[in-house]
Amino acid sequence: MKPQFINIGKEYGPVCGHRELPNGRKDAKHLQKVLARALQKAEKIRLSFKGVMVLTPSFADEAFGKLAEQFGLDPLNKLLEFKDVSEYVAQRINYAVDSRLKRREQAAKQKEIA
Amino acid sequence: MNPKHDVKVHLSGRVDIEPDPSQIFNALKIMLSSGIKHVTIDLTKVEFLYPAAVVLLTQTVVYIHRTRPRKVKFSLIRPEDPKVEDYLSSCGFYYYFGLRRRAGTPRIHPRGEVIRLKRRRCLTPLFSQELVELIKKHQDVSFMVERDLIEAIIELEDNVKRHSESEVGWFVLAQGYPNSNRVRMVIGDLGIGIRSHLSRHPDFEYLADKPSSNAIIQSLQRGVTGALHGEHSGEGLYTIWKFIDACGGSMVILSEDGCVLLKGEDVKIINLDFVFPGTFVVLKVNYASDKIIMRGEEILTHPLLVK
Repeated sequence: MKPQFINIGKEYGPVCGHRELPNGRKDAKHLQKVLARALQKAEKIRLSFKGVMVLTPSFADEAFGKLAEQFGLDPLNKLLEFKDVSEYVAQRINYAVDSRLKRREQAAKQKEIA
Repeated sequence: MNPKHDVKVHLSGRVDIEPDPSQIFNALKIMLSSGIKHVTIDLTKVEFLYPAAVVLLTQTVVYIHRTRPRKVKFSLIRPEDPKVEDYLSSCGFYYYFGLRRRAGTPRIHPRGEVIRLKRRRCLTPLFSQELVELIKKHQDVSFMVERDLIEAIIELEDNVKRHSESEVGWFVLAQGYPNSNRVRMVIGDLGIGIRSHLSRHPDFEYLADKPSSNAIIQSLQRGVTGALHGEHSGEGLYTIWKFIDACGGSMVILSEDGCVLLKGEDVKIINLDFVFPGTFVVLKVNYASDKIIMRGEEILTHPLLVK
């Protein structure tokens, strides 16, 4: 099956800034929902970051960090394909994912202790 | 008339929150004291009212109008200097006092160097776009500075919207200084304040009994957030401060009874003897194109998602 394609720069604009926007505009929460739906169905997604100028830590956390916290890193690595990613965008996404995974591990440890 | 009910606030010279905020803090303290029915703000001798002072005065007036059961009347004595008169009318300050530009005042400030004082309730990239346009009118800025500037403003507005719980939205004002390649922007809200927000989290409950300045300092650390269920990452203020520091700018955060002034390694903490309603942030950005924005190396412990 052909993977679903999302052009972040076109669909979410060059400034990917806010977690939530009013009036049903496409925001980080929207992207997270789209990705989560695909991951649940084990569908592949190709994401292009062409034309993305700004990706704030909040946007990266909401869209990718929370996804990693929910599904873990393996499904994300398997099903998400990143295209046209600048060093800046990669840094933002990797940091957001890493800090959420750390949080997940911490929560698991605390649960074990309890 | 009871003299206690009728107070006069005199401001003079250059009124700003830094380096010395005592003049503007005294004015706010008088305005916020209880039992007052009429406040006269005398700007006759003011040589310049900086954006920080403009927003602080406006925010306080709006707060008093909203919260005092009996109406408090505000009167403004206009500045003698036509430059100040022109600036205050161009930046939208008079609107909150029901005044208009004095007839015959010459237009001295070039249009396009100020983004008028606005009360915002909705998140849009509008303010950051306006600010970048304002800067680009006078100088080409590097892609990285433009990107980081937009990022800083979006993070700041996002923080205000999500954490402040301000019912009246937030105030923004920006002023460009093209000759020195600097821009000042001010964002203020009438929300619950940083300490009240942070101390909801069990890790920061202890802050509830400490001065607000402790909470402000804490909020600048990476990963610190008052959100209880991991909704937020706590990256906002940290990212903003990193950017401001890297471009040689400065930042002031005022929240409830604490004020922190940050410039490079210098941290000045002021504990106020009155409580300011809400939170107020001033960013001074140096956008000179030869500045290089350095980012710290992230220490990641998990395999990279994006290679």
